[in-house]
Amino acid sequence: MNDQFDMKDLSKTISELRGAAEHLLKTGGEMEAIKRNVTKILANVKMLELNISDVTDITNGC
Amino acid sequence: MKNKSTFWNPVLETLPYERLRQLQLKKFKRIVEWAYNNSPFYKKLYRDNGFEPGDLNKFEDIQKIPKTDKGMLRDVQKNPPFPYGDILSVPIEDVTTFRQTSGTTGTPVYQADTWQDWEWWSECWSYILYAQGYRDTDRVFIPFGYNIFVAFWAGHYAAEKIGCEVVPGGVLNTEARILKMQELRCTAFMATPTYVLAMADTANKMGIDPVRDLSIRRITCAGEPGASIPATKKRIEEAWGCKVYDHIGATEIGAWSYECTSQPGGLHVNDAFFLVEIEDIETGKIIDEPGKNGKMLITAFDRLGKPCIRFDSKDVIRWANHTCECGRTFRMIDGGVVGRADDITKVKGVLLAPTAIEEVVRSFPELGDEYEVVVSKAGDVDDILLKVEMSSWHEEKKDLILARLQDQLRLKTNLGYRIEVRPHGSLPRYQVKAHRFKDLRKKEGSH
Repeated sequence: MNDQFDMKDLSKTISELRGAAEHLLKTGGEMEAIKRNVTKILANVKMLELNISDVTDITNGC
Repeated sequence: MKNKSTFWNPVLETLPYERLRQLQLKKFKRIVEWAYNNSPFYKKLYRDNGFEPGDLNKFEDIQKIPKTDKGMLRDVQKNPPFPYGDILSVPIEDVTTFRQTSGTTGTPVYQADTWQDWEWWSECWSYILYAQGYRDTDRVFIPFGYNIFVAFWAGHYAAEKIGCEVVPGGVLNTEARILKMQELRCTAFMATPTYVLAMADTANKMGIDPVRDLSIRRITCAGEPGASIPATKKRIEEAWGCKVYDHIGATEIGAWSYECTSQPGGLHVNDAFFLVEIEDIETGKIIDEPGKNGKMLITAFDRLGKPCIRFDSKDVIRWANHTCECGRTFRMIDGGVVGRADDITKVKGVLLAPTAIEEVVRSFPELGDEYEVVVSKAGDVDDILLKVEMSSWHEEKKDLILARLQDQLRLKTNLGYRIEVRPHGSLPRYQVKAHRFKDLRKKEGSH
C-alpha cells in the first residue's frame, strides 16, 4: 500500500467526521436546514470512506 | 499550490492486484447483502435461484450469483414504487435524481439515484478526468443539452470537484458553442465522438480553425466507441490538434472505464468501484485470459438506490495483454468496447460488427465523417448498402477511392458492399448517440 499516507489515522478522522455529522443529524435533524445539509455532508463522508476507509483494513496476504 | 500528482487516489489506483481483489470481494459481499436486504426484486431473484448472501465466501462464488439484464430492469418497472419498481433499495423519498436510458433497444430504463449515489457518479468521473489530465487550471466547456439522459452531467460535477472552471453549453446551438469556446479560451470539452467531429466541421465552415483559433488541449469522448477506434481517434485529434480520450459508462451502471494520458491502446477499468467479468458468449464461462472477446458482466459496488449487480451490458470487450506505464494497477481492456452482443449480426452468413466498418471508412481521408449502413434482403440474399460522403474535389479520383474502399472493407469484414456516394453534409448528423447501422431484415421479417 502507498506508505506516503497514514491510512489508519486518515480512516480514524473520517470515522470521527461521520460521528460528528450523525450526531448533528440526531440532535438537529428536525430542522430541515440541518437535515438536508448533513445528508450532503454524509454523502461526501461516504466518498472518503470509499477512497480511504474501505481499503485500510485490507491486510497483506489475507 | 498546484497538485502535481498523477493520481486522483494514489492509494487505490496503485494498490497491488491481490489486495485489489480482496477489496473487490469485500465490496461485492457488501452490495449483495444490501440488495438482498433492501430490494424485493433482488431478494426474489436470489431466493428463486437458491442463493443466500451467506453462500458468498470466495471470489469463485461470485459466478453462482444470478445475472441481471436490461429486460429484467424494464419488467420490474411494472411493479411499485412508480416508476422504478421494487428493485429500488431505498425509500422513494430518498431519491433525488431521475435519469433514463435512451430507449434505443426498447422501453427506457428509469434510473433512481440518491444524493449519495449522485456524489458517487461524480467521484467515478473524477477518477476519469484526473487520469486524463484535467486540473484546476482548466476551463471546461460542456456542449451537451442537459436533460433526462445522464450523458455528461456527472462529467460536469466531477470537473467542478477537481477544481476546473465549468462552462455549461446547454441550450446553445453548435455555432454559438464554438464562439463561446473561442471567446472564453476553453481548454477542454466533453462530447460524443460524432459530435466532436461535427463541431470541427461546423467551426471550419464558420472560418474558425479549431487547431489555430481555439485553445482546446484535451477532449473526453463518451457515448459511442469512436474514441477507441484508431481511425476515428486520429481524425478527431487531427481536427482539433489535441489529445482525445475515451471513457465508457452507462446509465444503469456508472462511469466504469477510462483512458489515461499514457494512451497504451486500451482503457483502465476502475477496479476499486466496479467488478468487471467477461463471459464467453457461447460457453458462458468467465474469461480471464487476455485477447479473447466476450460479453461484459458488471457490478457497481457502491450504488445503493438501484443496485447494479452482475449486469449483462451486452458490451463486447476483451482483457488487454499489457499493463500501463502510468502506474495504475487497475486492469485494462483492449481497444474499448469492441462491439455489442446484440449489434454483432450475421450478414450473408458472416459475423459483422459495425465498428469494423467505421474503422475502414474513417481511415479514408477523402471521405467525410458521416456514413450509414443499411442491411436488407434482396430476394433471399442479404444486401449491404454503405452510404458515404465525399467532397466534389475528389470527383476525379472517385472510382479509385471506391475500389480501395471496397478492398479494405472486404479485407476487414469479409463482406462485399454496395457503396453509394453522397455529397458532403447530406447524411444525418447526430449530437448524442448516432444510429448509423440499420438492419431492415428484422422489420421485413416481422411483417
